[in-house]
Amino acid sequence: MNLAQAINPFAPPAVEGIGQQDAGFIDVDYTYTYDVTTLVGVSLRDQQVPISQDADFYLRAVHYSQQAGFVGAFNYRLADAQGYQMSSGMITNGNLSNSAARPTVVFPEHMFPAGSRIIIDFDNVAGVEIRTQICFKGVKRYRLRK
Amino acid sequence: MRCCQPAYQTPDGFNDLPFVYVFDADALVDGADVRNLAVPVGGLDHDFYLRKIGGGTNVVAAAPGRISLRDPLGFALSSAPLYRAAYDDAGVVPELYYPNNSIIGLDLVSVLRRNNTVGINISYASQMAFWGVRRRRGERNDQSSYRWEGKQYIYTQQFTFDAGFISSPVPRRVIVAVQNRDFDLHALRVFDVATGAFPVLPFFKLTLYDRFEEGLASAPVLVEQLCENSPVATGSAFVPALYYPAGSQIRLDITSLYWAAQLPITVEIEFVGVERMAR
Repeated sequence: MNLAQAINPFAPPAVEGIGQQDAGFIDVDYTYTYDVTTLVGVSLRDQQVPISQDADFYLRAVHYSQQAGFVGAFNYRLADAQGYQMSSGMITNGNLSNSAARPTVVFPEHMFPAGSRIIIDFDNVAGVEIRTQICFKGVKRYRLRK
Repeated sequence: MRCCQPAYQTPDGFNDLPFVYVFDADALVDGADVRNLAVPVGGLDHDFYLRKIGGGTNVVAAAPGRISLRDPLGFALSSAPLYRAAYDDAGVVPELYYPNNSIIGLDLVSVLRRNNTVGINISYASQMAFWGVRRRRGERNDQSSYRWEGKQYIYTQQFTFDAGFISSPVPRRVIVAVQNRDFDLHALRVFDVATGAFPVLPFFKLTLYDRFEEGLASAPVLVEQLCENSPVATGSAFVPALYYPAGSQIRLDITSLYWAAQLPITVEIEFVGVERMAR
């Protein structure tokens, strides 16, 4: 056995290497962002993150960051490009990862067609102004001509 | 990523070497917005596959500081610049191909260089690390001359930052002799001997060399970006594992960013891997 080609138990899957999987496609790592500044008590509905028209987007993970000095709790809910909600209710940010190394996983990956949008509902429940960036991490899938 | 896919293998006819390209922001100015920075990757004889990005918090301020990266064609990797935490220990899935002599494009908004300041002395630990593999044509002979099975083994080496080893571009060298059996290096760990934990002030850089004494980074890498037990860069491991035959040496150069008032500090460096036990 060529141990050098065996899995390194200390390495996460990304460092082990995850290559292209499907014939006929090229996947490119990509992150869509939703940047929002909300005052106290503000609730936003049907906010949209447009998906570019050059490729379908496969959502695989979500994480968030907040600006220092404008940190606080929020609730959110996602809906797909057809308007179908991805949760039965609003989800608190305590259940959403703020780590890019360990984001909240979306499994199975969810496809957003090119030109569509990610729909977000967002509630500021912090009691202060908050500035938040939610990152939707996945791949753009480019189809190859046969 | 598909569920239960097989382990990644280097394509036939090529060999991979784990490698870290670094971007040092030491020369930038705090508070500035800097566009169109370039991290040269690849070389005349190899391509680079990007798998992990770290060190975002070392180069820009907390939000509104932001970072934007670009692929070799100049396309952004995100729809908008990201807060710095998004590039702390972030995986790239699937791996991103950078052909030889290409660049990683980089924009920084609100630069804030991480530094080690003692009185009027200041040294910078402001660095982003781009982990991946260099891929070259040809085979690397990592085969042992005997039948073997693996057994975990750790080489250890203590190193003291004495009062004379203050911040300087001149490194000191640690050499570990690989004795008796071939060895596959999987990861490095560093502990402060006084506390038994990762150094609280991790202000030094490392350059690791393979058995051919080829450096495994474009410049010395911050210890917290290279060590498996780092609290900020988990999963820093060498893929593929680095093969050192019996009788060879593991060479590690250490570059200090400390100042005299912080010294002496003694660290223990662990070279964690697998010995190839003959059977």
